[in-house]
Amino acid sequence: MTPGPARRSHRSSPQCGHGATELPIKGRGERCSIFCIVPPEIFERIARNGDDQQREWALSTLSRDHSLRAARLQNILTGTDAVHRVDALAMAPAGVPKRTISDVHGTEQLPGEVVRAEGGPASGDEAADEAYDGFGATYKLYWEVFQRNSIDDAGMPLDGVVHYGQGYDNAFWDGNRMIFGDGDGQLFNRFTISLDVIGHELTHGVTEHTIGLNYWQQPGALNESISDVFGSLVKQYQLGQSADQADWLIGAGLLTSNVHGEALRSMKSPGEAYDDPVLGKDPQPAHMRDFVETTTDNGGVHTNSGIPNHAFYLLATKLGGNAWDKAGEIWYLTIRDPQLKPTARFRTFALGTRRAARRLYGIGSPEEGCVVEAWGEVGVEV
Amino acid sequence: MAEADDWEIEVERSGGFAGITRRASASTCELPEADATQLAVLASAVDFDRYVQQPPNMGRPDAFQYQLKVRHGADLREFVVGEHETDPTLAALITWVLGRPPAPRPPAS
Repeated sequence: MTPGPARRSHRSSPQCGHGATELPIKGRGERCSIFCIVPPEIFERIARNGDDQQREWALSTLSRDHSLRAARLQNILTGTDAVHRVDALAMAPAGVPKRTISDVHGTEQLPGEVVRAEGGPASGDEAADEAYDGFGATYKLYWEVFQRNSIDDAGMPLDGVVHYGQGYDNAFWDGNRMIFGDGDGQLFNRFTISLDVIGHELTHGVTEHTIGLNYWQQPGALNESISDVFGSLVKQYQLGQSADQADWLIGAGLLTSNVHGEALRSMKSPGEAYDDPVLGKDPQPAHMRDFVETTTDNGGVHTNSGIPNHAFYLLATKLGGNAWDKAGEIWYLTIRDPQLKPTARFRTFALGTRRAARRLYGIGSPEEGCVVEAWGEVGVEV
Repeated sequence: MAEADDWEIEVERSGGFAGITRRASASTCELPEADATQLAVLASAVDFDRYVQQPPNMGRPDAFQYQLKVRHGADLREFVVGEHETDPTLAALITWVLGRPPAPRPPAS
Protein backbone atom coordinates (compact mmCIF):
# COMPACT_ATOMS: atom_id res chain seq x y z
CA MET A 1 0.00 0.00 0.00
CA THR A 2 1.57 3.26 -1.07
CA PRO A 3 0.52 6.56 0.38
CA GLY A 4 -2.71 7.71 -1.21
CA PRO A 5 -3.49 11.13 -2.65
CA ALA A 6 -2.93 13.84 -0.14
CA ARG A 7 -6.04 15.17 1.45
CA ARG A 8 -4.66 18.41 2.67
CA SER A 9 -6.90 21.39 3.07
CA HIS A 10 -5.65 24.86 3.70
CA ARG A 11 -4.82 24.95 7.38
CA SER A 12 -7.08 27.47 9.03
CA SER A 13 -6.04 29.81 11.81
CA PRO A 14 -8.14 28.97 14.87
CA GLN A 15 -9.50 31.93 16.76
CA CYS A 16 -9.74 30.31 20.19
CA GLY A 17 -8.11 31.93 23.19
CA HIS A 18 -5.41 34.59 23.18
CA GLY A 19 -2.93 34.96 20.37
CA ALA A 20 0.45 35.03 22.11
CA THR A 21 2.46 32.00 21.09
CA GLU A 22 5.71 30.62 22.37
CA LEU A 23 7.79 28.16 20.40
CA PRO A 24 6.93 24.47 20.95
CA ILE A 25 8.77 23.29 24.05
CA LYS A 26 11.21 20.95 22.29
CA GLY A 27 12.20 23.54 19.71
CA ARG A 28 12.51 26.58 21.90
CA GLY A 29 15.87 28.32 21.44
CA GLU A 30 17.23 25.49 19.26
CA ARG A 31 18.65 25.96 15.77
CA CYS A 32 19.78 23.18 13.43
CA SER A 33 23.17 23.97 11.85
CA ILE A 34 23.89 23.10 8.24
CA PHE A 35 25.99 20.17 9.49
CA CYS A 36 23.23 18.43 11.47
CA ILE A 37 21.33 15.35 10.33
CA VAL A 38 17.70 16.12 9.45
CA PRO A 39 15.86 15.67 12.74
CA PRO A 40 12.93 13.25 12.68
CA GLU A 41 10.37 15.89 13.55
CA ILE A 42 11.14 17.47 10.18
CA PHE A 43 10.08 14.24 8.44
CA GLU A 44 6.98 14.18 10.60
CA ARG A 45 6.00 17.72 9.61
CA ILE A 46 6.73 17.04 5.93
CA ALA A 47 4.60 13.91 6.09
CA ARG A 48 1.78 16.01 7.49
CA ASN A 49 2.09 19.25 5.54
CA GLY A 50 3.95 18.53 2.29
CA ASP A 51 2.67 18.02 -1.25
CA ASP A 52 2.19 14.50 -2.66
CA GLN A 53 5.82 14.04 -3.69
CA GLN A 54 7.20 15.40 -0.44
CA ARG A 55 4.88 13.22 1.64
CA GLU A 56 5.84 10.09 -0.30
CA TRP A 57 9.53 10.85 0.19
CA ALA A 58 9.14 11.53 3.92
CA LEU A 59 7.08 8.38 4.49
CA SER A 60 9.53 6.32 2.43
CA THR A 61 12.43 7.65 4.47
CA LEU A 62 10.60 6.92 7.70
CA SER A 63 9.82 3.42 6.42
CA ARG A 64 13.44 2.59 5.53
CA ASP A 65 14.75 3.87 8.80
CA HIS A 66 11.57 3.34 10.74
CA SER A 67 13.02 1.45 13.63
CA LEU A 68 15.22 4.22 14.91
CA ARG A 69 13.55 7.31 13.53
CA ALA A 70 10.02 6.38 14.49
CA ALA A 71 11.08 5.44 17.97
CA ARG A 72 13.10 8.61 18.25
CA LEU A 73 10.17 10.67 17.00
CA GLN A 74 7.95 9.04 19.55
CA ASN A 75 10.52 9.78 22.24
CA ILE A 76 10.69 13.43 21.27
CA LEU A 77 6.95 13.85 21.16
CA THR A 78 6.31 12.00 24.38
CA GLY A 79 9.33 13.11 26.33
CA THR A 80 10.68 9.65 27.06
CA ASP A 81 14.00 8.06 26.40
CA ALA A 82 12.66 4.56 25.97
CA VAL A 83 13.10 2.99 22.55
CA HIS A 84 10.46 0.38 21.94
CA ARG A 85 10.21 -2.61 19.74
CA VAL A 86 13.22 -1.86 17.53
CA ASP A 87 13.69 -5.51 16.61
CA ALA A 88 10.05 -6.01 15.74
CA LEU A 89 9.99 -2.86 13.66
CA ALA A 90 13.10 -3.93 11.79
CA MET A 91 11.34 -7.15 10.83
CA ALA A 92 7.94 -5.70 9.87
CA PRO A 93 7.73 -3.90 6.53
CA ALA A 94 6.04 -0.66 7.38
CA GLY A 95 3.37 0.85 5.15
CA VAL A 96 1.76 -2.43 4.14
CA PRO A 97 -1.05 -4.10 6.09
CA LYS A 98 -1.27 -7.86 6.53
CA ARG A 99 -4.97 -8.70 6.37
CA THR A 100 -6.61 -12.08 6.75
CA ILE A 101 -10.37 -12.53 6.76
CA SER A 102 -11.92 -15.82 7.94
CA ASP A 103 -15.49 -17.12 7.86
CA VAL A 104 -16.97 -19.15 10.71
CA HIS A 105 -20.22 -19.79 8.80
CA GLY A 106 -22.66 -18.85 11.52
CA THR A 107 -20.89 -20.71 14.30
CA GLU A 108 -18.81 -19.29 17.14
CA GLN A 109 -15.92 -21.67 16.49
CA LEU A 110 -12.66 -19.86 15.79
CA PRO A 111 -10.46 -19.52 13.80
CA GLY A 112 -12.67 -20.28 10.80
CA GLU A 113 -11.92 -20.73 7.09
CA VAL A 114 -9.68 -18.14 5.42
CA VAL A 115 -11.66 -16.52 2.63
CA ARG A 116 -9.41 -13.58 1.81
CA ALA A 117 -5.72 -12.99 2.44
CA GLU A 118 -3.59 -9.90 1.88
CA GLY A 119 -3.40 -8.97 -1.77
CA GLY A 120 -5.94 -11.61 -2.75
CA PRO A 121 -8.92 -10.97 -5.04
CA ALA A 122 -12.33 -10.01 -3.72
CA SER A 123 -14.09 -13.02 -2.25
CA GLY A 124 -17.56 -12.06 -3.46
CA ASP A 125 -18.84 -12.23 0.11
CA GLU A 126 -19.99 -8.76 1.09
CA ALA A 127 -19.05 -9.06 4.76
CA ALA A 128 -15.59 -10.48 4.05
CA ASP A 129 -14.77 -7.87 1.43
CA GLU A 130 -16.10 -5.01 3.57
CA ALA A 131 -13.96 -6.21 6.49
CA TYR A 132 -10.91 -6.44 4.23
CA ASP A 133 -11.44 -2.95 2.83
CA GLY A 134 -12.22 -1.51 6.26
CA PHE A 135 -9.02 -2.94 7.70
CA GLY A 136 -7.13 -1.36 4.83
CA ALA A 137 -8.73 2.04 5.37
CA THR A 138 -7.95 1.89 9.09
CA TYR A 139 -4.35 0.93 8.45
CA LYS A 140 -4.10 3.73 5.91
CA LEU A 141 -5.23 6.43 8.34
CA TYR A 142 -2.83 5.30 11.04
CA TRP A 143 0.10 4.94 8.64
CA GLU A 144 -0.34 7.97 6.38
CA VAL A 145 -1.44 10.44 9.04
CA PHE A 146 0.19 9.20 12.23
CA GLN A 147 3.04 7.06 10.87
CA ARG A 148 1.77 4.17 12.96
CA ASN A 149 2.48 0.72 11.52
CA SER A 150 -0.71 -1.16 12.40
CA ILE A 151 -2.33 -1.56 15.80
CA ASP A 152 0.87 -2.15 17.76
CA ASP A 153 3.08 0.09 15.58
CA ALA A 154 5.05 -3.04 14.73
CA GLY A 155 3.11 -4.40 11.79
CA MET A 156 0.57 -6.46 13.75
CA PRO A 157 -1.47 -8.60 11.34
CA LEU A 158 -5.10 -7.52 10.98
CA ASP A 159 -7.26 -10.61 11.36
CA GLY A 160 -11.02 -10.55 11.03
CA VAL A 161 -13.75 -13.13 11.42
CA VAL A 162 -17.10 -12.71 9.67
CA HIS A 163 -20.51 -14.42 9.93
CA TYR A 164 -19.97 -15.03 13.65
CA GLY A 165 -22.93 -16.60 15.43
CA GLN A 166 -26.58 -16.51 14.47
CA GLY A 167 -28.23 -13.11 14.24
CA TYR A 168 -25.40 -11.76 16.34
CA ASP A 169 -25.94 -8.03 16.92
CA ASN A 170 -22.36 -7.12 17.64
CA ALA A 171 -18.73 -6.71 16.63
CA PHE A 172 -15.78 -6.70 18.98
CA TRP A 173 -12.00 -6.83 19.25
CA ASP A 174 -10.92 -9.88 21.25
CA GLY A 175 -7.31 -8.79 21.73
CA ASN A 176 -6.08 -10.62 18.66
CA ARG A 177 -8.73 -10.30 15.97
CA MET A 178 -11.91 -8.53 15.11
CA ILE A 179 -15.17 -10.47 15.24
CA PHE A 180 -18.20 -9.42 13.16
CA GLY A 181 -21.79 -10.52 13.53
CA ASP A 182 -24.36 -10.42 10.77
CA GLY A 183 -26.97 -8.54 12.79
CA ASP A 184 -30.50 -9.79 13.28
CA GLY A 185 -31.83 -8.23 10.08
CA GLN A 186 -34.68 -6.65 12.02
CA LEU A 187 -32.93 -3.92 13.91
CA PHE A 188 -29.29 -4.31 12.85
CA ASN A 189 -27.59 -4.92 9.54
CA ARG A 190 -24.28 -6.77 9.24
CA PHE A 191 -21.59 -5.10 11.34
CA THR A 192 -19.07 -4.86 8.49
CA ILE A 193 -21.32 -2.32 6.79
CA SER A 194 -19.96 0.73 8.64
CA LEU A 195 -16.36 1.85 8.15
CA ASP A 196 -16.35 3.72 11.46
CA VAL A 197 -17.36 0.52 13.27
CA ILE A 198 -14.31 -1.23 11.88
CA GLY A 199 -12.06 1.71 12.73
CA HIS A 200 -13.60 1.82 16.21
CA GLU A 201 -12.88 -1.82 16.96
CA LEU A 202 -9.32 -1.82 15.66
CA THR A 203 -8.68 1.34 17.68
CA HIS A 204 -9.43 -0.64 20.85
CA GLY A 205 -6.27 -2.52 19.92
CA VAL A 206 -4.37 0.74 19.50
CA THR A 207 -5.59 1.85 22.94
CA GLU A 208 -4.41 -1.45 24.43
CA HIS A 209 -0.94 -0.79 23.03
CA THR A 210 -0.80 2.84 24.13
CA ILE A 211 -2.67 4.37 27.05
CA GLY A 212 -4.29 1.04 27.99
CA LEU A 213 -7.39 2.55 29.57
CA ASN A 214 -9.34 0.28 31.90
CA TYR A 215 -12.73 -0.69 30.50
CA TRP A 216 -14.74 0.62 33.43
CA GLN A 217 -16.48 3.89 34.31
CA GLN A 218 -14.66 7.06 33.21
CA PRO A 219 -11.49 5.37 31.91
CA GLY A 220 -13.76 2.99 29.99
CA ALA A 221 -15.80 5.84 28.56
CA LEU A 222 -12.54 7.44 27.40
CA ASN A 223 -11.55 4.10 25.90
CA GLU A 224 -14.86 4.02 24.02
CA SER A 225 -14.54 7.64 22.96
CA ILE A 226 -11.04 7.19 21.58
CA SER A 227 -12.41 4.39 19.43
CA ASP A 228 -15.29 6.56 18.21
CA VAL A 229 -12.89 9.45 17.51
CA PHE A 230 -10.45 7.45 15.41
CA GLY A 231 -13.23 5.36 13.89
CA SER A 232 -14.82 8.56 12.66
CA LEU A 233 -11.44 9.80 11.40
CA VAL A 234 -11.02 6.59 9.40
CA LYS A 235 -14.29 7.34 7.64
CA GLN A 236 -13.57 11.03 7.18
CA TYR A 237 -10.10 10.34 5.78
CA GLN A 238 -11.40 7.71 3.39
CA LEU A 239 -14.12 10.05 2.14
CA GLY A 240 -11.86 13.12 2.08
CA GLN A 241 -14.24 15.06 4.33
CA SER A 242 -13.34 18.12 6.33
CA ALA A 243 -14.59 18.52 9.89
CA ASP A 244 -17.43 20.70 8.61
CA GLN A 245 -18.43 18.15 5.94
CA ALA A 246 -18.35 15.08 8.20
CA ASP A 247 -21.58 13.70 9.66
CA TRP A 248 -19.89 12.78 12.97
CA LEU A 249 -22.17 9.76 13.25
CA ILE A 250 -21.08 6.37 14.57
CA GLY A 251 -22.75 3.32 13.09
CA ALA A 252 -24.80 5.06 10.43
CA GLY A 253 -25.95 2.31 8.07
CA LEU A 254 -25.88 -0.23 10.87
CA LEU A 255 -29.52 0.34 11.79
CA THR A 256 -32.16 -1.10 9.47
CA SER A 257 -34.98 0.98 8.02
CA ASN A 258 -37.19 -0.47 10.78
CA VAL A 259 -35.41 1.72 13.31
CA HIS A 260 -36.21 5.38 13.83
CA GLY A 261 -32.74 6.82 13.97
CA GLU A 262 -29.72 8.02 12.01
CA ALA A 263 -27.01 6.03 13.76
CA LEU A 264 -25.99 4.56 17.12
CA ARG A 265 -24.14 7.66 18.32
CA SER A 266 -23.62 11.27 17.30
CA MET A 267 -20.45 13.06 18.29
CA LYS A 268 -21.99 16.31 17.09
CA SER A 269 -25.27 15.87 18.99
CA PRO A 270 -24.99 13.22 21.71
CA GLY A 271 -28.43 11.99 22.70
CA GLU A 272 -30.02 12.63 19.31
CA ALA A 273 -28.80 9.70 17.21
CA TYR A 274 -31.95 7.59 17.61
CA ASP A 275 -35.35 7.54 19.32
CA ASP A 276 -37.12 4.28 18.63
CA PRO A 277 -39.99 2.38 20.29
CA VAL A 278 -37.91 -0.81 20.42
CA LEU A 279 -34.33 0.43 20.87
CA GLY A 280 -35.30 3.29 23.11
CA LYS A 281 -33.71 6.75 23.04
CA ASP A 282 -30.04 7.56 22.58
CA PRO A 283 -28.89 7.96 26.22
CA GLN A 284 -25.63 9.81 25.59
CA PRO A 285 -24.95 13.03 27.51
CA ALA A 286 -23.08 15.95 25.94
CA HIS A 287 -22.07 17.57 29.24
CA MET A 288 -20.77 16.50 32.62
CA ARG A 289 -23.92 17.78 34.32
CA ASP A 290 -25.74 14.85 32.66
CA PHE A 291 -23.10 12.21 33.43
CA VAL A 292 -24.84 8.86 33.97
CA GLU A 293 -23.99 6.88 37.11
CA THR A 294 -24.74 3.23 36.42
CA THR A 295 -23.37 -0.26 36.84
CA THR A 296 -24.64 -1.54 33.49
CA ASP A 297 -22.36 -1.53 30.47
CA ASN A 298 -19.24 -1.56 32.65
CA GLY A 299 -20.28 1.68 34.28
CA GLY A 300 -21.87 3.29 31.25
CA VAL A 301 -18.84 3.31 28.96
CA HIS A 302 -20.94 3.59 25.76
CA THR A 303 -23.14 6.24 27.35
CA ASN A 304 -20.71 8.68 28.96
CA SER A 305 -18.35 8.48 25.98
CA GLY A 306 -20.68 11.12 24.55
CA ILE A 307 -18.91 13.76 26.65
CA PRO A 308 -15.33 13.30 25.37
CA ASN A 309 -16.76 12.56 21.91
CA HIS A 310 -18.43 15.95 21.88
CA ALA A 311 -15.24 17.61 23.14
CA PHE A 312 -13.35 16.21 20.17
CA TYR A 313 -16.06 17.30 17.73
CA LEU A 314 -15.97 20.81 19.21
CA LEU A 315 -12.18 20.96 18.99
CA ALA A 316 -12.11 19.70 15.40
CA THR A 317 -14.73 22.19 14.22
CA LYS A 318 -13.14 25.08 16.14
CA LEU A 319 -9.77 24.32 14.54
CA GLY A 320 -11.30 23.90 11.08
CA GLY A 321 -9.88 22.02 8.12
CA ASN A 322 -9.54 18.24 8.36
CA ALA A 323 -10.21 16.75 11.77
CA TRP A 324 -7.29 14.32 11.49
CA ASP A 325 -4.76 17.12 10.98
CA LYS A 326 -4.68 19.07 14.23
CA ALA A 327 -7.37 17.62 16.49
CA GLY A 328 -6.37 14.09 15.50
CA GLU A 329 -2.68 14.82 16.10
CA ILE A 330 -3.46 16.24 19.55
CA TRP A 331 -5.52 13.17 20.48
CA TYR A 332 -2.94 10.76 19.04
CA LEU A 333 -0.12 12.38 20.99
CA THR A 334 -2.27 12.27 24.12
CA ILE A 335 -2.89 8.53 24.01
CA ARG A 336 0.87 8.03 23.85
CA ASP A 337 1.57 10.33 26.82
CA PRO A 338 3.46 8.30 29.44
CA GLN A 339 2.00 10.50 32.18
CA LEU A 340 -1.47 9.08 31.49
CA LYS A 341 -2.34 5.83 33.21
CA PRO A 342 -5.01 3.19 32.52
CA THR A 343 -7.04 4.73 35.36
CA ALA A 344 -7.19 8.18 33.76
CA ARG A 345 -10.50 10.01 34.20
CA PHE A 346 -11.95 12.70 31.94
CA ARG A 347 -10.14 15.69 33.47
CA THR A 348 -6.78 13.94 33.57
CA PHE A 349 -7.13 13.03 29.92
CA ALA A 350 -8.27 16.54 29.06
CA LEU A 351 -5.19 17.94 30.78
CA GLY A 352 -3.20 15.54 28.62
CA THR A 353 -4.76 16.97 25.47
CA ARG A 354 -3.85 20.49 26.60
CA ARG A 355 -0.30 19.31 27.24
CA ALA A 356 -0.23 17.74 23.77
CA ALA A 357 -1.48 20.93 22.14
CA ARG A 358 1.28 22.85 23.88
CA ARG A 359 3.93 20.41 22.68
CA LEU A 360 2.69 20.53 19.12
CA TYR A 361 1.70 24.17 18.74
CA GLY A 362 3.20 26.10 21.64
CA ILE A 363 2.18 27.42 25.02
CA GLY A 364 -0.59 29.97 24.61
CA SER A 365 -1.25 28.95 21.01
CA PRO A 366 -4.71 29.29 19.50
CA GLU A 367 -4.77 25.50 19.28
CA GLU A 368 -4.25 25.20 23.02
CA GLY A 369 -6.98 27.78 23.54
CA CYS A 370 -9.37 25.72 21.43
CA VAL A 371 -8.62 22.63 23.51
CA VAL A 372 -9.45 24.53 26.71
CA GLU A 373 -12.66 25.91 25.19
CA ALA A 374 -13.81 22.54 23.82
CA TRP A 375 -13.45 20.77 27.15
CA GLY A 376 -15.01 23.70 28.98
CA GLU A 377 -18.10 23.45 26.80
CA VAL A 378 -18.66 19.87 27.94
CA GLY A 379 -18.11 20.77 31.58
CA VAL A 380 -14.50 19.66 32.03
CA GLU A 381 -12.34 22.54 33.18
CA VAL A 382 -8.68 22.41 32.26
CA MET B 1 -44.47 -27.65 40.70
CA ALA B 2 -41.57 -29.45 42.40
CA GLU B 3 -38.92 -27.08 43.73
CA ALA B 4 -36.34 -28.71 41.49
CA ASP B 5 -38.29 -27.45 38.49
CA ASP B 6 -39.18 -24.03 39.91
CA TRP B 7 -36.96 -21.46 38.17
CA GLU B 8 -37.20 -17.78 37.41
CA ILE B 9 -34.42 -16.17 35.37
CA GLU B 10 -34.00 -12.46 34.67
CA VAL B 11 -31.36 -11.39 32.18
CA GLU B 12 -30.18 -7.85 31.49
CA ARG B 13 -27.79 -7.53 28.55
CA SER B 14 -25.86 -4.28 28.22
CA GLY B 15 -22.77 -3.13 26.38
CA GLY B 16 -21.87 -4.46 22.96
CA PHE B 17 -20.83 -2.02 20.27
CA ALA B 18 -24.28 -0.46 20.28
CA GLY B 19 -24.35 -0.01 24.05
CA ILE B 20 -28.06 -0.82 24.12
CA THR B 21 -29.62 -2.57 27.11
CA ARG B 22 -32.09 -5.42 26.67
CA ARG B 23 -34.03 -7.14 29.43
CA ALA B 24 -35.92 -10.40 29.43
CA SER B 25 -37.20 -12.87 31.96
CA ALA B 26 -38.70 -16.34 32.04
CA SER B 27 -40.41 -18.25 34.80
CA THR B 28 -41.40 -21.90 34.87
CA CYS B 29 -44.57 -20.83 36.68
CA GLU B 30 -45.71 -18.78 33.72
CA LEU B 31 -44.57 -20.80 30.72
CA PRO B 32 -46.41 -23.55 28.85
CA GLU B 33 -45.36 -26.97 30.14
CA ALA B 34 -42.96 -27.81 27.30
CA ASP B 35 -41.19 -24.45 27.58
CA ALA B 36 -41.09 -24.68 31.38
CA THR B 37 -39.44 -28.08 31.12
CA GLN B 38 -36.90 -26.73 28.66
CA LEU B 39 -36.08 -23.78 30.92
CA ALA B 40 -35.64 -26.07 33.91
CA VAL B 41 -33.31 -28.34 31.95
CA LEU B 42 -31.18 -25.40 30.77
CA ALA B 43 -31.01 -23.77 34.19
CA SER B 44 -30.21 -27.02 36.00
CA ALA B 45 -27.15 -27.51 33.81
CA VAL B 46 -25.48 -24.26 34.93
CA ASP B 47 -23.05 -24.07 37.86
CA PHE B 48 -24.26 -20.72 39.18
CA ASP B 49 -21.99 -20.89 42.24
CA ARG B 50 -19.02 -20.51 39.93
CA TYR B 51 -20.31 -17.16 38.68
CA VAL B 52 -21.48 -15.88 42.03
CA GLN B 53 -18.10 -16.62 43.61
CA GLN B 54 -15.77 -15.39 40.87
CA PRO B 55 -14.33 -11.91 41.41
CA PRO B 56 -15.64 -9.23 39.08
CA ASN B 57 -13.47 -8.53 36.04
CA MET B 58 -13.29 -5.43 33.98
CA GLY B 59 -15.10 -5.86 30.70
CA ARG B 60 -13.65 -6.60 27.31
CA PRO B 61 -14.21 -3.81 24.77
CA ASP B 62 -17.63 -4.00 23.14
CA ALA B 63 -18.40 -7.44 24.54
CA PHE B 64 -21.85 -7.86 26.01
CA GLN B 65 -22.26 -7.69 29.77
CA TYR B 66 -24.93 -9.86 31.39
CA GLN B 67 -26.54 -9.27 34.76
CA LEU B 68 -28.55 -12.26 35.94
CA LYS B 69 -31.02 -12.81 38.76
CA VAL B 70 -31.65 -16.49 39.27
CA ARG B 71 -34.37 -17.73 41.58
CA HIS B 72 -34.47 -21.47 42.17
CA GLY B 73 -37.24 -22.26 44.61
CA ALA B 74 -36.48 -20.05 47.61
CA ASP B 75 -32.84 -19.53 46.65
CA LEU B 76 -31.94 -16.23 44.92
CA ARG B 77 -28.58 -15.45 43.30
CA GLU B 78 -27.35 -12.43 41.38
CA PHE B 79 -24.17 -11.92 39.41
CA VAL B 80 -22.61 -10.04 36.52
CA VAL B 81 -20.65 -11.82 33.81
CA GLY B 82 -19.01 -10.79 30.55
CA GLU B 83 -19.94 -12.44 27.30
CA HIS B 84 -16.45 -13.85 26.99
CA GLU B 85 -16.64 -15.39 30.47
CA THR B 86 -19.73 -17.53 29.94
CA ASP B 87 -19.44 -21.28 29.58
CA PRO B 88 -21.66 -23.07 27.01
CA THR B 89 -24.35 -23.96 29.58
CA LEU B 90 -24.81 -20.36 30.74
CA ALA B 91 -24.59 -19.07 27.18
CA ALA B 92 -27.38 -21.45 26.16
CA LEU B 93 -29.60 -20.32 29.04
CA ILE B 94 -29.02 -16.64 28.30
CA THR B 95 -29.72 -17.16 24.60
CA TRP B 96 -32.96 -19.00 25.38
CA VAL B 97 -34.18 -16.33 27.76
CA LEU B 98 -33.27 -13.48 25.44
CA GLY B 99 -35.05 -15.30 22.63
CA ARG B 100 -32.29 -15.60 20.09
CA PRO B 101 -32.12 -18.78 18.01
CA PRO B 102 -29.20 -20.95 19.07
CA ALA B 103 -26.09 -21.28 16.89
CA PRO B 104 -26.06 -24.52 14.87
CA ARG B 105 -23.56 -27.20 15.71
CA PRO B 106 -20.30 -26.82 13.74
CA PRO B 107 -20.00 -29.29 10.86
CA ALA B 108 -18.37 -32.57 11.86
CA SER B 109 -14.74 -32.73 10.70
